[in-house]
Amino acid sequence: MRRVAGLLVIVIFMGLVSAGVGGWCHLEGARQSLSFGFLLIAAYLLGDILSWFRFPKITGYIVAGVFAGPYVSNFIPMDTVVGLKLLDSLALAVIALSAGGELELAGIKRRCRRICWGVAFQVIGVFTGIFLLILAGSQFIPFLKNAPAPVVLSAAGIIGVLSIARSPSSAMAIISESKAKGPFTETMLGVTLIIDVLVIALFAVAVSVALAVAQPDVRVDAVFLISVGIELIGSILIGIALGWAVDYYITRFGAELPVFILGTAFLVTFFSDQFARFLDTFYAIRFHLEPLLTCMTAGFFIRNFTKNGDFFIKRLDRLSLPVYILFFSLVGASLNLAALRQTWMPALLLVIGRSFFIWTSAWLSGRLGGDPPVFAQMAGFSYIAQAGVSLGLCGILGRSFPDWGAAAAVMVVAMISINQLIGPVTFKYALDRVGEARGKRHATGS
Amino acid sequence: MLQTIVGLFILLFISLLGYRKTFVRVPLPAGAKFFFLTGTEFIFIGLALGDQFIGVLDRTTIGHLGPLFSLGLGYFGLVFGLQFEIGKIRRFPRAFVSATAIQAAVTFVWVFAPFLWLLYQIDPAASTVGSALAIGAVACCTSPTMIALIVKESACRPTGAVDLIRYIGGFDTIIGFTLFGAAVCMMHHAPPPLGIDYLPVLQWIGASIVVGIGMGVLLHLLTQVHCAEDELWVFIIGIITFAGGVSLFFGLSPLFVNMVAGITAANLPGSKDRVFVALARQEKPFYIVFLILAGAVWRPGTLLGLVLAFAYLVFRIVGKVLGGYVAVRAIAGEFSVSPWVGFGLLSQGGVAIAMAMDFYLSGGSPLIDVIVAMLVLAVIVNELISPELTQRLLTGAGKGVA
Repeated sequence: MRRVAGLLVIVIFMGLVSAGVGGWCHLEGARQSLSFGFLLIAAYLLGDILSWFRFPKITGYIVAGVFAGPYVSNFIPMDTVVGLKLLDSLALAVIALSAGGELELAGIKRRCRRICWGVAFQVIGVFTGIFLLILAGSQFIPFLKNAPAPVVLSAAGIIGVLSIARSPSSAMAIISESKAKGPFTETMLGVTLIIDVLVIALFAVAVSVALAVAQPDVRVDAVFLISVGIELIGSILIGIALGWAVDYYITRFGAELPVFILGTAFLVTFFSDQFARFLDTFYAIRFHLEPLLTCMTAGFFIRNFTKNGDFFIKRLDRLSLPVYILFFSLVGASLNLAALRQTWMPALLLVIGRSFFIWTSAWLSGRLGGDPPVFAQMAGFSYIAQAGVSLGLCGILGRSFPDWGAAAAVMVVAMISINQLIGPVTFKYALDRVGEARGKRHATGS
Repeated sequence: MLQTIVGLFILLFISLLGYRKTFVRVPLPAGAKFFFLTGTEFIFIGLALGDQFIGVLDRTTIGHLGPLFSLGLGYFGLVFGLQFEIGKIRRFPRAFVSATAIQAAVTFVWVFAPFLWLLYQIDPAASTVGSALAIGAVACCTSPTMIALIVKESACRPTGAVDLIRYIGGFDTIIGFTLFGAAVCMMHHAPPPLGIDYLPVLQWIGASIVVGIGMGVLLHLLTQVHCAEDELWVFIIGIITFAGGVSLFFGLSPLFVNMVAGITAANLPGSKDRVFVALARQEKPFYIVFLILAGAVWRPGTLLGLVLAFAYLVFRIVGKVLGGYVAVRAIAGEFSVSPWVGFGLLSQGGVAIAMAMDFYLSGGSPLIDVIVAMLVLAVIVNELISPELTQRLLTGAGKGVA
């Protein structure tokens, strides 16, 4: 009851502040400070309250963000959400380090065949299914109605690729909260992380092909494809170097590791962004290192190729509670409910279609990979959540195809919003059913 | 944006590196030794980083660091408020309470009155009453950390004088923060919160108290049941930044609002010791951040600032000594200590720096730069002279007074 009372007190306060005179704010950052404090407490409390009803805590964090965000109560206006994006990127980098660190090489080797089956079936099954679904239903989608065949094909291909994307951050948060461990969790995490990397390359291919299909005078842009390949390889190599640097720091100094980790995450996020801007401004080259991949590689390297893996993971765990709260509440605040309102019907159909194809692909790969029946049945529930990478790719979609890209991006964002809300719930359900959820973990504040 | 991020990164890096590597004993004379022991050198690091020299922490960058300010100021306010538990205060002799109040009142009046006149002479259009009130409030405060350090370094045996100085050092800050909160409300230019143009200052003070009590109740609600360490930090940081954000948003004093929150939480039933212990462990990094920021906004070159700093130092020293004298005389029937106890109450340290930064953020006076320069310079000089004077007093007291 104290938690409910606490939540009420802070919501009333925030309501009064927002409804009041609009502030006398002469200091930039005062609103950010207010929003930061509100999200930290309200999201945590709501997550805790929802966990009484067996919902994952991150659902509470997301719902709190949605409620506080610009589309519902406007406690946190859009410019403040944008202002807090640095924290968001920082949190994502920490989560990626954690996700990489969670992957144990021995476990991956043991489950290599199942992971490969999972990736192959998910990529082919979901892509093909959504591609055909869009083709079949193009007359019901506003921006594809009466569109020429090349546009329909291009849109179907790109939306098909975007439907493959997953949310490693949600997966990590649920695994951490449920303290899940075991073959099901290992396979699921492996498949999710690999697909999240693959989707970047696949998206580049899809965009190049779509441009060539839509405009007959344009060929498939090989330079673009090569640059994406270099981006991915470069991110992995920098991740290895970063992992080595962190290991050196732990061995040599060891003190204030959480601060060092935050600093590292900050540097990766910040400099990959600045490097991309520098190349774009001075050399007109579009080249963007993937901070998520860099951090995942670093985490994986530290865990599997150094002696400090366990120490690193334990220290990282201490940071996890505020990181998850901030990240997911900001995800909630950023969810584009206006887009959802505009295109909820096709988006909902896409969600249902995608969930069906995911479940079928996962079930097939599980059966062929020799998993126990319950694993095969539940695997599909683990892959629903989407965020992060797919949202970033939606931005590129809008810019790459000015005629229809923006409208398609709105629909995909709406689909991602729904998936991000239901995905954590279904994943927690799956972990409970396969018996790998071992209870609440300290790191998520239980 | 780029500069803000780089500035923030440098600030955090220095403070986290610094708090392990500084506060060290350097074999130097007493004043200089305490200079390093209290980390005053970080003011000069801040000065170097500020727009007077390197420019990484220029004023625009500092303006963007709102969450850091609300966190830091809120931290100081909450720490002091949490110590004000009436049950614990009652364990000390009642004479200590009277002595604290008398000493603070005399010092305040002694500094407030001449500065009211001085500031009016400099700029009659400025919010002279509010600014003078703020200066008087800063003058009241004593740094309990510095007193504890000096007592520890002096290795003097526990006496009545030591107890009294420590008590006054712990609690005159509460009086100072309260007066300071009122001063910030006096400098407020916005329409009053109730929308009625009647006693607007009182309305703003009332708003500060209501927000503070609300946050205190929230802190109590959330931390009374046992929670894990990381949960506790989520609540503490959340409440401090929220209360600080509300204060900055409405132009109130984050120090005062969080102090009220701390006092409220401290006096509600249940254990708040865990909150206090958790906060106390992080004192040094916060302290360093403020020293650097104070250095960054410091404009030491202004002649007016130097003159005012000299005047402030003189008035404050006299005010403290006189206040201590009057206080000791007033409680002479109940408690006997050296009448020169005021010499032990000169150090200001982080408390004054936090108040200077709060004043800087209030933006209510055109004389902000001069007043901040004056307060920062006074802190530096105080940190050099106060250890020697306190040690002399305590050594004398240890030989048999009280």
